[in-house]
Amino acid sequence: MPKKNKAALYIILVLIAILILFPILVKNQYWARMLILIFLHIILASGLWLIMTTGQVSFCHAAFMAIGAYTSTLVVMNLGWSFWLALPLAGVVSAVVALLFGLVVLRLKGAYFFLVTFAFGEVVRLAFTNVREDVLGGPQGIMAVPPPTPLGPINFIPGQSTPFYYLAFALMLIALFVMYRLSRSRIVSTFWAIHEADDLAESIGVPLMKNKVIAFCVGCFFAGIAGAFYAHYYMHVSPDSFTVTESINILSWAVIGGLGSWVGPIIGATVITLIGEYVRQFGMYDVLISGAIMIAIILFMPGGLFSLVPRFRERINKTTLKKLRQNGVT
Amino acid sequence: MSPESFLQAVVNGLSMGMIYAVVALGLTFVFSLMGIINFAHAALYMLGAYIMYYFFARWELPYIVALIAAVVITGALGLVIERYFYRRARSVLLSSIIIAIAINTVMEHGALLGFGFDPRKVPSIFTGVIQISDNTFSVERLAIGGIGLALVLAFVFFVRYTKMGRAMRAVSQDYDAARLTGANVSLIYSLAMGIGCALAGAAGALMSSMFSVDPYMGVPYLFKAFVIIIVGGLGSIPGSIVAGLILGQIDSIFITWLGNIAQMFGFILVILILVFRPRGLMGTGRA
Repeated sequence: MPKKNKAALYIILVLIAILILFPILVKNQYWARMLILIFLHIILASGLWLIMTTGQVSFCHAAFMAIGAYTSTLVVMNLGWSFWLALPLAGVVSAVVALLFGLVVLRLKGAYFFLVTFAFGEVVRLAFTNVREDVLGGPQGIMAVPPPTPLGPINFIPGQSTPFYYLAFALMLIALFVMYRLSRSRIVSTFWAIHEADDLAESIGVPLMKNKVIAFCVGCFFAGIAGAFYAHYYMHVSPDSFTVTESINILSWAVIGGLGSWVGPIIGATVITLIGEYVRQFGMYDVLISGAIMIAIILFMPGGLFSLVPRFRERINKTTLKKLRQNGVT
Repeated sequence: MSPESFLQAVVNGLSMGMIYAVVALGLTFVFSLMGIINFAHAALYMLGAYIMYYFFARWELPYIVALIAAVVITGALGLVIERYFYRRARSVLLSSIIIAIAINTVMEHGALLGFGFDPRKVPSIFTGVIQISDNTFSVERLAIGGIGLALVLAFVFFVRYTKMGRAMRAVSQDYDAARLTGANVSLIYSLAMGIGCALAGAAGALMSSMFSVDPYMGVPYLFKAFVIIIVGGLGSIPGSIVAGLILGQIDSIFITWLGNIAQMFGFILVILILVFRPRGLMGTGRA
């Protein structure tokens, strides 16, 4: 294993260890809740990142989150399923809807795909608002969604964030592991090839549709999982939680973090969520300030926050090189 | 629905559709030249309505002065946004989308802080109704639809028959060839953005007397404009006008007839159009 990767591996292991020990060492509920939110945002941003590696900008990620949230809520509340069955089911239902929708629209590119996903997001939101109000609850949504059923000795009690913290953390690790494995594999290289030059990729025999559909389904699967977690964590689903604004937020986490690597969405979701929390102290000026920060990041760092990492590494390499030269090594 | 109310709904739909077309024309024009989906359109629409409120309702200047002020100020703001923000992020669809959304958010919240939370009312200068047999038509709707039509015609004339309009069409067809023949692309981009935003501002100013004015009033019209520019064909000017009128009819007839669920029709129409005819009703480009 090259030295660089070994260092990265240590950093990741230390981070995981810190996050596992966090609720034991820090009894602060506020920070636990904050981290749960960040984990949730990372799952969403990573899923969208995978979709965007194929060059497709999806504008309806929150709609798939809504599909997952409603699926899980309905099977738990109306059919009496266990949460632990409903959670994967939510992901699968989202992925199946993504498959059907994707097969039809994924051949569209650029602004066309962006606008058709926008329309789909609105259709889903309006459908949850207006269709079958007796089952879906209409604009108010569904209240009093039960928390997850106990898993062995672990009880999920609303208000106690530690079990939810570990659940969100585990889900995030699964999502990130999938993203990491995919980004090391041939398939994401293929995605990038489609992203960079789809005509060329197709001409050498890359099946465009198949790859785009796979990326779209996997991304939306995790959106569905995140939606199910959201429903049972906040114990409430309503169409208002999954609007275009939420899709915009997910998109901005991924883009601001940087699309070049699977690490980008992690950085983006973390930084933007923390900024959003920090600027709340400015009262009514909060959105103004966070909007200005977003504009500045895009204008001055077109590759996203992650593009700082190679730049930083380059600077370190340069300084070490300089030192070595001064010592007469090279 | 009785035939009388049906005719009324059609006429109201035509008048609304004209305004939808004005909003969508600005959006599709900016897209066809620069490839940017200008989310700030919603904020400029809102700003146009606020300018109408301050100039006409608050400071009691003549209606026409307020309307011209709305066009000029939103147009100038469009130039500024293009020069300092879009120009730097133009090459990448994603960056430009995020910048445009962020600018829209900042402007909306700026309006919330500057103009206050409470919705404002702008008095109407067009009052009364016209009675034709059993049908009642509001003069206001007819007048606003008429002004909308005049704006659309002026815009079409500009793009078709002036030198600058020709240069703009050239840039949207072939960027490199237009530059080679000496078109000043930077100037054209700034002007196109200015004109696009001025159309949004004008539409907002016209609509201010029909609906209440608040910081988030522009967003539904931005969404309608998305529907229109896709249905009409991205970048197509006649397509936007036709699709604007169609959406006006959908909104007017189906919502009075079926209620809220009819809001979905426009978006479903978008998906159908993109699946079966991606270049839209009258678009020429490839999807």
